[in-house]
Amino acid sequence: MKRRVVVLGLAMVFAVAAGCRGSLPTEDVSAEDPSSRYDTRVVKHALGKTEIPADPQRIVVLNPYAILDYLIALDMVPVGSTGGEGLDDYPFGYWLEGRTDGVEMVGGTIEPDLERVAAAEPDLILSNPWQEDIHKELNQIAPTVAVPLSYSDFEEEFRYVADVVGQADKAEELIEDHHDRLQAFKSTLGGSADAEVSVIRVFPDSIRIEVDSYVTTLLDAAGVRRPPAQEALKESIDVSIEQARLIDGDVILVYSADNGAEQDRNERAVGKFLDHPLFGNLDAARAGRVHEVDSRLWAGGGILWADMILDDLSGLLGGQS
Amino acid sequence: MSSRHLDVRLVRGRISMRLSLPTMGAAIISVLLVGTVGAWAMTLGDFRLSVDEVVRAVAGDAAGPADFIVRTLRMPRVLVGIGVGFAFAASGAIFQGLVRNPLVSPDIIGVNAGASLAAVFLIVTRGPMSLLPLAAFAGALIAALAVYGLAWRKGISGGRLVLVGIGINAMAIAGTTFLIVRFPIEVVSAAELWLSGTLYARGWEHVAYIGVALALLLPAALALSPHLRTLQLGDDVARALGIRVEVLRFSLLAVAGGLAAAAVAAAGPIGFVALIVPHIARMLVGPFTAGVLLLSGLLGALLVIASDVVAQHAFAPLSLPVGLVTAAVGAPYFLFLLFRMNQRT
Repeated sequence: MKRRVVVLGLAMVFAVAAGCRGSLPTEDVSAEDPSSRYDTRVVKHALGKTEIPADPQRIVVLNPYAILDYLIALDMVPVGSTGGEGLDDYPFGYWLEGRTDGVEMVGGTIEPDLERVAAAEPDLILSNPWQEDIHKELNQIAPTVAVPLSYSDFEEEFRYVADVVGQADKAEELIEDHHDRLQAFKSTLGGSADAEVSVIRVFPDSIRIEVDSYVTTLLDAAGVRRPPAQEALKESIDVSIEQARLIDGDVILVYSADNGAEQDRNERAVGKFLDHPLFGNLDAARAGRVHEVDSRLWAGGGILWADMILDDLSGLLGGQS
Repeated sequence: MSSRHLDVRLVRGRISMRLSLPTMGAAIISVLLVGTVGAWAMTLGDFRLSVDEVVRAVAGDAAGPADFIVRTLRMPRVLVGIGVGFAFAASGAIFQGLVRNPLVSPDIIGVNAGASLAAVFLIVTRGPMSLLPLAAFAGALIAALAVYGLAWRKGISGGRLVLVGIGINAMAIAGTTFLIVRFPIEVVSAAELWLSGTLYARGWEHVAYIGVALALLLPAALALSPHLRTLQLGDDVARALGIRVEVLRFSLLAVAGGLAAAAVAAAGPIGFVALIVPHIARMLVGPFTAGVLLLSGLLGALLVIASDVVAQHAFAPLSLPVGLVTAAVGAPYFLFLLFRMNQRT
């Protein structure tokens, strides 16, 4: 019995060795040294300093929402991006659909597939500020910049990314266009200019009053007023539905935690909120001015994103008096 | 089984061992299997490599992409898997032998939970990630010391140790849950990933952690194993044979706790390995001995790297944490064990 097991074991080893066939690109990626072909510069980022090519051609981005948005806005379509986990169809930021042809998916946002990142042969990697654990490995593939995200001031983030990829001028143009659109939006508000808009995001276990986020930054820039009760808040807080005074406003915009994954659980959370017995306590509810908005869009960020939100808002607020 | 032994005498009789042939045979086969599965694991991925390309890369003799992929990504991952699998299973074997309860393991008496609490705390407070293994190790040791200290009453009894351990475990888990609920969802996602035990992004520093721990603790464990067998005859008999019971128990707990703590520090709390693998080892070759300890370790290593292959590649392009697969395998087996034990009593 023992001898048979040993022979079987050896046979397995040989079978595996014989059966495997490898496939490897013949190019030697590590021999491409950016500093020998292009100019380079040193940039400071969230995790230190890195020397990057001045004119990156093949960018891989590890954030399929705001950072991908900035690159697409600058016409610098990356060769690879991470995607939302669990999505069957479109893996990147919902509002970017149709503009990401040629972008390879390189794994999930929380656990990017380092082999796929390497396979994309990037010359620059843009990562998230919290991805400290793989920063060393990423730098071995290509110079890596951890974009310092504030998750609220998208104009500043946009300028940063544009500077890194060498498109600072174009970014200024686009920001000016965005400001023009903000002006146009303000003039269409009409009677709604005084409406106090509360933005809340419903999670399965709590309600978050959005205060310092992409959405609220945009609203403030668009001249949309916030409820005075929320003015004292410095950052988003989680509350329960009983705190109607904090949640309430003339208009309430509600969206869920969903950005693609776990859609059912999150949709139920919004439903639970709207059907809650205490929901009727809210003035906005009684006036019929609670609007559910699409979280796949509203939970995002970016400069192209901002324009789409403005369109949504015009529909919800514009022309009401 | 008493006839199938090999008596070894070295250094003119000063080192004398009795090696059980079935155990040695099983151990050798396990080593071969670990080597095979490990090498195979390194050929898999988006870049498919052949076995000799892997071997050449390991020897430092390969061109660009293969070199990076094997030496920076795949090799540390497999080595850490082998190391933590070994450490968890060995730790479980010692605990089960010491407490003489086959249902005990560092998973449930607070070691893993203490490490998790410390690690999650570091993650949600956005502390430096480089300190994560250290924090986890410290958390595990503090929990183990707390269990030992609270269970001491003029000595340690196995039953009391387990009960106190379960209590500490519950407290640590409560603390961890509190942190998860209280902190914003962006930081909590990273913590939840660590909590399931994962070999993702394991680098050579993790190999070093678990390697050093094994190098220090495994010889100690092997040296103490014969005394553990004496202890299993009962405290009074052991004392009569000259064993210092409490010192021995403390040493064994320290070694077992240290092995589990190092494993959690390197890869997070990979569940069920410490609980299930010693059972399998004992089922194959009999009750606890140093050889069974080694065999448990090897089988633990095999379980972890095999589970990691499944976790990484069975559901491509989605990559699972290895702890999910070991739980999926371990939980049903554990239920089966309970069922069998119920039937026998």
